[in-house]
Amino acid sequence: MSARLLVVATQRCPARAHALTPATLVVWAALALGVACTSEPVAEPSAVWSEAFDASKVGALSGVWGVAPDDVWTVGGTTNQGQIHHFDGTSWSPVAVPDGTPLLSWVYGFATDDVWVVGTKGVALHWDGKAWAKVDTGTTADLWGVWGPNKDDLWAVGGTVGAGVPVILRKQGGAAFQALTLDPAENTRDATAIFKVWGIDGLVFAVGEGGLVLQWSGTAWKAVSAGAKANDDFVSLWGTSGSHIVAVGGRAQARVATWDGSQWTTVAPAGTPGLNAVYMTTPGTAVVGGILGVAGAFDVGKAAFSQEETGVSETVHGIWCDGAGTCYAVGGVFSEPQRGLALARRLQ
Amino acid sequence: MTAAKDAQGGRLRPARGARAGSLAACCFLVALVACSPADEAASDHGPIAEDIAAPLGQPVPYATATQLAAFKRGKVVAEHRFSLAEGLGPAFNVTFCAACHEKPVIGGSAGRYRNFFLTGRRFPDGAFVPGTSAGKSGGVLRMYDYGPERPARPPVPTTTNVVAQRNAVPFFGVGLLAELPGSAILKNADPNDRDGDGISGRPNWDRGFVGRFGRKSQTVSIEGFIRGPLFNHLGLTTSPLTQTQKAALPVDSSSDSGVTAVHPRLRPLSSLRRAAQAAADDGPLTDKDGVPDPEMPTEDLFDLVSFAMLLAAPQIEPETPQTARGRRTFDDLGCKGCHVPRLVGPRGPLPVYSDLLLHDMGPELADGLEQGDATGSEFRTQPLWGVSAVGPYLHDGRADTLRDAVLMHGGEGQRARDRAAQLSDAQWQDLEAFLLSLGGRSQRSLGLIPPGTPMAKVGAWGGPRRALSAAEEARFLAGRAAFDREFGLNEGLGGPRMNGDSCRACHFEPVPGGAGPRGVNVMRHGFLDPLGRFVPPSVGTILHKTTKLHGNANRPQKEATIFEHRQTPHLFGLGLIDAIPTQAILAQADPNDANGDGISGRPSWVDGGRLGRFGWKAQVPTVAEFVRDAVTAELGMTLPWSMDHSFGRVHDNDDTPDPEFAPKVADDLGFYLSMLAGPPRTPGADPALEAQGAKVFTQVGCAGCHTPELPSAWGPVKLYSDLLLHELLPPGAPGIEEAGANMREFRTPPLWGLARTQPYMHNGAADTVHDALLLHHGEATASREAYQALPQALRDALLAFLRSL
Repeated sequence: MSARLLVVATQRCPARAHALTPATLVVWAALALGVACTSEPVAEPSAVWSEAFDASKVGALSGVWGVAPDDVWTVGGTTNQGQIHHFDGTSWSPVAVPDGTPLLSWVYGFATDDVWVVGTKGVALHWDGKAWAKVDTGTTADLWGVWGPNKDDLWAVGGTVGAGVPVILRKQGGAAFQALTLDPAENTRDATAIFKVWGIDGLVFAVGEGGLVLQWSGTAWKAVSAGAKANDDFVSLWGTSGSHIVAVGGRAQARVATWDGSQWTTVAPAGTPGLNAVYMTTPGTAVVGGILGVAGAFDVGKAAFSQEETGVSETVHGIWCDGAGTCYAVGGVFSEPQRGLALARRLQ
Repeated sequence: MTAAKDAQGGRLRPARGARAGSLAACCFLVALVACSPADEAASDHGPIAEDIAAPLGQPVPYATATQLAAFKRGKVVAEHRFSLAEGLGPAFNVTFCAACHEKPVIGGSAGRYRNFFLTGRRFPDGAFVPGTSAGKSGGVLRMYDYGPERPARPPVPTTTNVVAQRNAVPFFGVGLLAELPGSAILKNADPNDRDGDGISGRPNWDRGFVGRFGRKSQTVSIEGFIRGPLFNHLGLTTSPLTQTQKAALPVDSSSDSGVTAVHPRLRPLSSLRRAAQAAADDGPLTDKDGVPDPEMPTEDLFDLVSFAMLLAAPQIEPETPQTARGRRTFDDLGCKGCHVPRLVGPRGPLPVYSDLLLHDMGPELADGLEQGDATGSEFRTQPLWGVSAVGPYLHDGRADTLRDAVLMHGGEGQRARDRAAQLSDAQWQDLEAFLLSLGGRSQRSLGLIPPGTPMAKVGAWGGPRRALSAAEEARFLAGRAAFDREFGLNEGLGGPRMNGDSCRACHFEPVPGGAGPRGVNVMRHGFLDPLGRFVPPSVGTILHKTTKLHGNANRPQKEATIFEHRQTPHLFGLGLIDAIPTQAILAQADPNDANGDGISGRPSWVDGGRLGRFGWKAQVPTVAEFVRDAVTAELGMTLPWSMDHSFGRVHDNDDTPDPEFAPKVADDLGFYLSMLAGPPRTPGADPALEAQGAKVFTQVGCAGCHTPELPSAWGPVKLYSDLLLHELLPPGAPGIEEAGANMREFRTPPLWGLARTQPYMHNGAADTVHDALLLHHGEATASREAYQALPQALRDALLAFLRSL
């Protein structure tokens, strides 16, 4: 894959992002004649996406997460064969999974020797620093998300899309996974699946089918309205504080919900395709990705999406940023023949 | 541009002089206003791109030989009746694509009988979420289910609070629409009505591209527009086309094909030339019916998408003085504010007569369904090319005529509608003539039988059973036309519920008068009381498929627990069955199994001691009453009172004067059905094998009920039925009681015509004759077991014989 370079520049007058194409340069030149600008355009760092590693033969990838810039995991695979790859700061390499591991969907952890992965058919794997081992979840339903506030409190969520009811599992300390029943009255979107769970500062939210948003009260999951536009699937969420959380979704049309510390508000930015992946780099900015290779930055304050060129058309499913200037986006094609995608985004 | 240059159907290239003038103007105004030479040509009823049009259903003239081959294969896929073994279902509405895209030819739209329900739930916080029906269905209600543990009519979730109907949209010219750049659509958008004309079209978006297909422009790609309905309406799973296949489609749909149509926000940043047609769901669809996914191979999907993409645009007729007047009326009314005459694609101006944008159509037409950015009252401007042949009109087919449709416009169309209401009759005629000139008029009929189709030969499928005089032939053809024609709401169709809008709607396999596939099954329902006795619902045992009440999903009453499909039987030879003497039928009866053979056929006494002989439960005594019963029960229409006939309703509560079904039409229809020949035999290539099978037929006991022939005044009737009731369901199985037949009893269905009238059994549960034999229980248990014990060679002989009937 050849990485394509795109420059995203921001001018102080007018303060909007533009691509510096020949056409825009002409327009700028014309505008410069008739419009008084108070300052010259100032270039901001531009996002450059490139291939992280060749994932075309490993099946589709769904999740990416790391302990540190040199300790990053990505998971996925094919229908009947899960795949896990690890980045050690220098290169990506495959890591063996237990026999019979099916397609994997999400990864999250607490330490370099304490990482969890969940996937289809109820599979959960744990990394102890040496090897991945299966952990019984008590369900055969597909699991789509895993997260916990600390190593002794782990949540896993899922459900077979289109059939049955959402699955919520909790694992506390050394105990086994326990299934929690979602009160049907709280399943206000008639969801059959919950796709992700995430939290911060004592808050825990889960999102899922049909725009369902749930909040953990400490004793039960309660539905939280995210507004009239919360009417399509929310696929994932991330945040930087208890007042800055973003959930993204939508299948054909994007949905972006923001939590401001007291309520959720959802927008459906016209013309933005469905989104699957989100990672917040600052309280005001979320790096997002979705179908047709779309990725970019979502300005939370302006509720505006700025697309960045990824150079690919495969679907982006997961994004994680390492805090050192690099974000990873993974995805691919989940239909046969499955094909993976692993990108890295760096600011220049 | 002169009026002469604007001639309809002129297929002119854009006038060079006009373009030169526009170019000069553009140069003068450069950098100040947006100006495109192509736009000017498209601003009115101007020239049309060459080689884009053909008779409805034909391929575009520019198709290559390779594409034509795919077109032909794709048409076969569109016509193919999918079986349960091929992956149909588990829940579904229809069994083949052309079921809803048949009018006036394959690729078109369909009558109201193919309307389907779209549903959803509006939550207290204002969110609208599409409804489910036996699983995820994109909001589509599925009408049928063959799952052994599930009701035959999937329930409507109790939380569903938004219900609307949809009439199928035609596919003519969709490949040309797929080629349109997004800018060609966006140029007509005026979301804030800056020009103050009361019309504020705005685009819908699909995956970042300008939507253009569907009643709300909710879909951009043809692949997506086909894969969705295949799953939601047929229950067929598919995987997306491969990139190689997408690139080979008539409209390149690969990811980097270069046809860009993205949202302005995305376009400047995209150096990758994303194609609008590439924007289909990239995920595989799966279900749990035991058939491996994908149930439709991608090769077949490729052909089907190719077929759709290659369907030519309707041919606009040359302008006449009347249609010219109508065109001017069209313009004066303001119709072209939304029904934009031309959209410019890469092949030139397309006479779409639509801006493909969303418009608020007011509260009367609002359906409450949100799709993409479209609100509950917004709809895409329906293209008018080919409009003459694809009625009924409007999104749910509520308008019988073009005039009705115009007068039902509200919202942004209100101003034009109010002007139209002031037109004189002559102006209406001109306007309608103009609209009918937009393609397809010569293919238009009141049903599906093409205009001028001659009568089939004596004894052939759909032909008369004997030679007819000229007067009889005229009557036969009139009856056939009555059988085929789709009745309108203005004529009293629906009472308010209905299963069909014509007789042919359910009886068309292999030709009109025939049987029906599963997608037109009649649903019967009821419940059991605490003692296990059958209780019919207060509305009767028929749970109608549709209704003229647009927001009513026709739910069963809550007590209903028994749902039973009724497959549509063919009507060939009905008059011959009518002619069988009662005594000949009664002679077969053995209600107490006096001969001890385990078979105890008994007559169905209905309506005060008359012998029933028609229907799955032998519930109707004569052909004439069979017609009357169907007109009322299936079409919801009233009939003239008749002293001799106890079937058929003579009054209902709608606004249409009774009788809604004219006496002469009823007479013609009765004559046609009584004259239809029995099914012609369909011998195979091995007469000896069939002869052997005939012996096996008797040896295993089939003939115990399926009496090979019964006498009549016109000679023996080789129907393979005793016309008696027999217990056929397993002991204890619940069913529907009707007339004199108990829950588990059915009339022995005649076997003539078996080979071309599948599926089989009363509920259509059997894909094949073999499957049907295995579903025989009750009195037929011994015969089934005997069949199962046969060596394969004898089974093959029996099946060959049955196929020859």
